[in-house]
Amino acid sequence: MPIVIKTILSCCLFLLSIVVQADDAMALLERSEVAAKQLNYNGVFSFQKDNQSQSIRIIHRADEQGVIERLVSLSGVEREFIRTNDLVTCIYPEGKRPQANRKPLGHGFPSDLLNRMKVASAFYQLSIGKQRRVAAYQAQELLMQPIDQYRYGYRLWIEKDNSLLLQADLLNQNGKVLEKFIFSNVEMNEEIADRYLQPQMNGNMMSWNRKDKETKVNKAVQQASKWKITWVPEGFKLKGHQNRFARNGSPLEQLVYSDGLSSVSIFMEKIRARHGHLKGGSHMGTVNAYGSIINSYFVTVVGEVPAITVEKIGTAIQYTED
Amino acid sequence: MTMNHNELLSALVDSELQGSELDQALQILAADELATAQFQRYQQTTDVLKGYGERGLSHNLASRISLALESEPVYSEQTTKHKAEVITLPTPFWKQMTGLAVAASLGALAVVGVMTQPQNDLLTNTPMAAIDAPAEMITVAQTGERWTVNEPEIENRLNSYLLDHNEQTGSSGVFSYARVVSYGAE
Amino acid sequence: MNVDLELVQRVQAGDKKAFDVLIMKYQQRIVHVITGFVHDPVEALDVAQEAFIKAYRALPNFRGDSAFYTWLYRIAINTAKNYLTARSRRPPASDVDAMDATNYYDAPELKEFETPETRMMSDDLEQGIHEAIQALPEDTATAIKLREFEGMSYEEIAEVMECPIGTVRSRIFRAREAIELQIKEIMGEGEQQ
Repeated sequence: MPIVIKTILSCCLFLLSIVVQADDAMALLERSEVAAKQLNYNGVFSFQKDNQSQSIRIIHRADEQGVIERLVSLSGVEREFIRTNDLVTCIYPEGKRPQANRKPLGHGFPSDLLNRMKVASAFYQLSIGKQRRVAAYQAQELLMQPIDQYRYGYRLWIEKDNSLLLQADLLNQNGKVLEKFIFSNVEMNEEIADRYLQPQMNGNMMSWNRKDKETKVNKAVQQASKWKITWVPEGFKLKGHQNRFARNGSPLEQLVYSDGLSSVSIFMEKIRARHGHLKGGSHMGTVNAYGSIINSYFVTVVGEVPAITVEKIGTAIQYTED
Repeated sequence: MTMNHNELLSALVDSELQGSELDQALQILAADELATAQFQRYQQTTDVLKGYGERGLSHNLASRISLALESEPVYSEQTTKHKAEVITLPTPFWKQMTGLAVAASLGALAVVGVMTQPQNDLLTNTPMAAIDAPAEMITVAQTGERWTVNEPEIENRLNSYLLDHNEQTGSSGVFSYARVVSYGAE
Repeated sequence: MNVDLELVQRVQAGDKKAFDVLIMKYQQRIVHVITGFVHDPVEALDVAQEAFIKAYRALPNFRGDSAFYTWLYRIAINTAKNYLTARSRRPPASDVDAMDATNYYDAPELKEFETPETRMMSDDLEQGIHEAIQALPEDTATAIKLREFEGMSYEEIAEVMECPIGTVRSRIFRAREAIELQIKEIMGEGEQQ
């Protein structure tokens, strides 16, 4: 029955092409991750969300001594980051602090994103798309579509010859661009003199090792939690757990779930005669939150995931008395 | 003052009055100093329970302010309408502004004295004349994204949670860098 | 109908006394906010007074697009910051963002102006209020707890407790009366000491 055979063959070829494509996409992602670390590059990128835009210069050099990277904000508050392998230093103006008593983030330019994408790739469909020009280079589109509506997707544009990431879009379920990172100009493979990696700003400095904050899940602590999360998106695992006290003395517990790329935190704070808790959903840009009260605790789910995700998790939280 | 009056005042503390009962409560407060004192005591209990009681600080702030406002004009519907028209910008203006480079538009609007994000209407109604340092106020609004909540306490808590979340997860690589640079931008 | 908005509209229509109600409702919260900047309690009251006056003057332009308290809060923050600038004092080092001054988590600095005596007194007060609540009949206690600790509206409480809204209202009122008796006892003891 030739028609049946043809149909079966077509299906097999189709499935094979998907596998091949996925393999190609993964290979491209891996090359891009390596390039972000090992290439020298010097350029200006912008980070855009809503109607706002930030411009940042990045100078990245890799050699036998390791990686040095300098980022300079070209708009907004003046600040610089210098990263030498894993040591990150932030230079900020006198009289200001980067964030209220918190260390600013600095997990590095694209390499970290790409590494996370690799880790999380099981929960995203990778595919190769079109080609177009970005920052005067020919770039290949790589799509990362989430397997469900509970996480955001990505679209990357990777330079064809050197595999440097030139553009990354964060997409919602409808394909709308929520955030965009894009190079406006960049030079690759040039020699970079030391002076371009020295801070130019006068100000205060704050340094930290970016590996310090890796949180291991303490099984003992995990077992001590009285909270049961009965649903998280597929692939989300407990990645962090901490107990601390808010400054008003209320016990505050935080559970962190992630698929490696997308993550949510669940906060449980004992009510201590406070009001003004989030009830229901709220959002700020791409970050969504969902709040409720369970057993005299303020329970809040926060994460860079669609609203439906925080809501579904928020309604799947139980307090269990031992 | 009757028990019923006090119950009205108690409900007013909770903002749970409307219509004729609200009228009645306001009349009671306007006419009876004892009722005012009672209302303040109920409000104080709520404030203490919610953590706003300034420890041991007794004051007569409300009376002081009331006294200071005696020399201020009484408003009428005419004065309210007139001032509102002076400040409000027509919607199409806003649509144009969102298309412009953000930095330039922020500066221009700061001069005019009206600054807002479409979803954050904090300053739309405040004329420059009423505030000594409009630049300060506009700076606050310029932080850009805000949570879609009305109460500052909720916003504060969510911001704090987000900081904790970002610390634990690092967010997503490239965007986290950019967010560090843009977070708290003034 | 939003009571705050109704009060504002009454002020805008000529009822100055309606503004007194707004002052009484929010004076404590505003002083609390301002104390995050201006630690001296006497100065904080002065700044709070100025903030309310500014709010009154700006009231004709308030249209209710945001909550009244949000609007008032921002005026208070800016009044406090202006006050400090005028006195050549920088805002507190921890104040990266205006919001931090009224962070949900109380800053230790807020307690600087307390004396041991006032601290003990106000701890007694808070303790007394909690004890009064514990001593209430169950339904009354539940109603006031749902209102004050969980921020529920009367309608929500009525649903939870499966009773009419009027019953919720009177339970909360009775709770406040009982608490007031307790406070009077504490204050009475305090005076004797």
